[in-house]
Amino acid sequence: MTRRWVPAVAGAALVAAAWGVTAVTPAEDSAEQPFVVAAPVGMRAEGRNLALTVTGVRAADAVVNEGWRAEGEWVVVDVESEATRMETGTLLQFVTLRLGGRTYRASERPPDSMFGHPLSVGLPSAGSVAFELPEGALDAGAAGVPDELVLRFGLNLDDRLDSVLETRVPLDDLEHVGEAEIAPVDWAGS
Amino acid sequence: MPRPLAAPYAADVEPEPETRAQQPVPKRRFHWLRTASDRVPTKWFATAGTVLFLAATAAFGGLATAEEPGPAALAVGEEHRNDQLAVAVQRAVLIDELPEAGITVEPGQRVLALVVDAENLWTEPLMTARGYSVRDAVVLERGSDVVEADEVARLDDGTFGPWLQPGVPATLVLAWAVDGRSYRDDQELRFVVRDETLYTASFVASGRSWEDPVPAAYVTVAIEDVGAGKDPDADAADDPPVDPAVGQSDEGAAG
Repeated sequence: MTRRWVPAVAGAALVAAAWGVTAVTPAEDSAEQPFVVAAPVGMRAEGRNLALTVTGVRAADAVVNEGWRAEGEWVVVDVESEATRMETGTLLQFVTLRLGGRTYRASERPPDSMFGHPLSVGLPSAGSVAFELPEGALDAGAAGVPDELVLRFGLNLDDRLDSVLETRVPLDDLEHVGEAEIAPVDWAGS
Repeated sequence: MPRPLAAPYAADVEPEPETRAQQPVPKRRFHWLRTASDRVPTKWFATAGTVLFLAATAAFGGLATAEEPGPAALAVGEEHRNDQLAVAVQRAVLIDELPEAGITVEPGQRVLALVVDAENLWTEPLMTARGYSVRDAVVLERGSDVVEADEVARLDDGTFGPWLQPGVPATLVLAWAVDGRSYRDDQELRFVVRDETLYTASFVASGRSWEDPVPAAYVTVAIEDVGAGKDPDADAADDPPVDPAVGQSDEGAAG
């Protein structure tokens, strides 16, 4: 009779415990998340069979590349990259930019960019990738625009359980130019 | 039934003269209603409710099955939006060949090219490969069947099978290789615009994809036959992609 509160407390404790288990259970896809390697601008980062340095990031109103030209809201990223173990089938295929809840893929429109380019071991290639964004996507102060771009580089279209190199660029640090050249791919240092 | 109920309430609604002065005015205002409802047998409420319900039902067309809204007719250039895409069919052109759109024709065939403005309204890039996004969204009606475009390219620079980046509009050319004798100038063609549903794969599959297209609207367009494509009075938009820079960078390492 005096212990009538015991079942009530035990029940409440069980409910709290169940809530806790739900709260700490990882999401279904968390077992296959990519391994993120930080790759700050200007610093070489290494992942599985991929080494990459972001050498420059700029925003432009127009981009040119090998006679091709397009206007719009572009972000051009200069990179140097090489394979570290194996060349066969090693292409810089996974290049994305995340901003404001949207994910963009590097544009396949420039004829000669580093996007999808084969990588060699020990001979870094240098070039650029370009992202086409909606008008006004980079405007600072626009509602819902977070203050940084998140770039990700990897070798596989499917980034699950692979390493991806991640570069974060604050929007304030982004240089704006009128027209940017997407440098044709060349050997780094040449 | 009303009588016994009325007795206890009567003390409230018909207070003694000295307490009546303290009663708030609004309460007295509905005095007649309370009195009237006390006199109505309860069974009448059920009947009145049923009658009201039937009247309302009749006012909205009775109990017959409501007609499902069918696919809407879109005008040429009119935009159709769903959660995945915004598409607007602009014009249809019949041309001898259109290698700029990546399409090859066999003898006797010609190219039916449809110019479509498209914008990705989703948060991730959409590809335009067979069975994806625009190719599923705008299809040619042929008899009782629909046919997906054989090839897709951008109108401005001729990029084959372009990706649609979120929020970035693009003008595309959807191309079908068709029997040259089955289509002629000014013929009206119907294109079906379809909506897809976003699925999140689980268990053995993963990722999210747009599947299960269902017709949402249709557009009727008259074909313009531009012959070999060198129509002298054609306006600029008539021309197939003029920029020859369509070769993509798959020529191997540079340097």
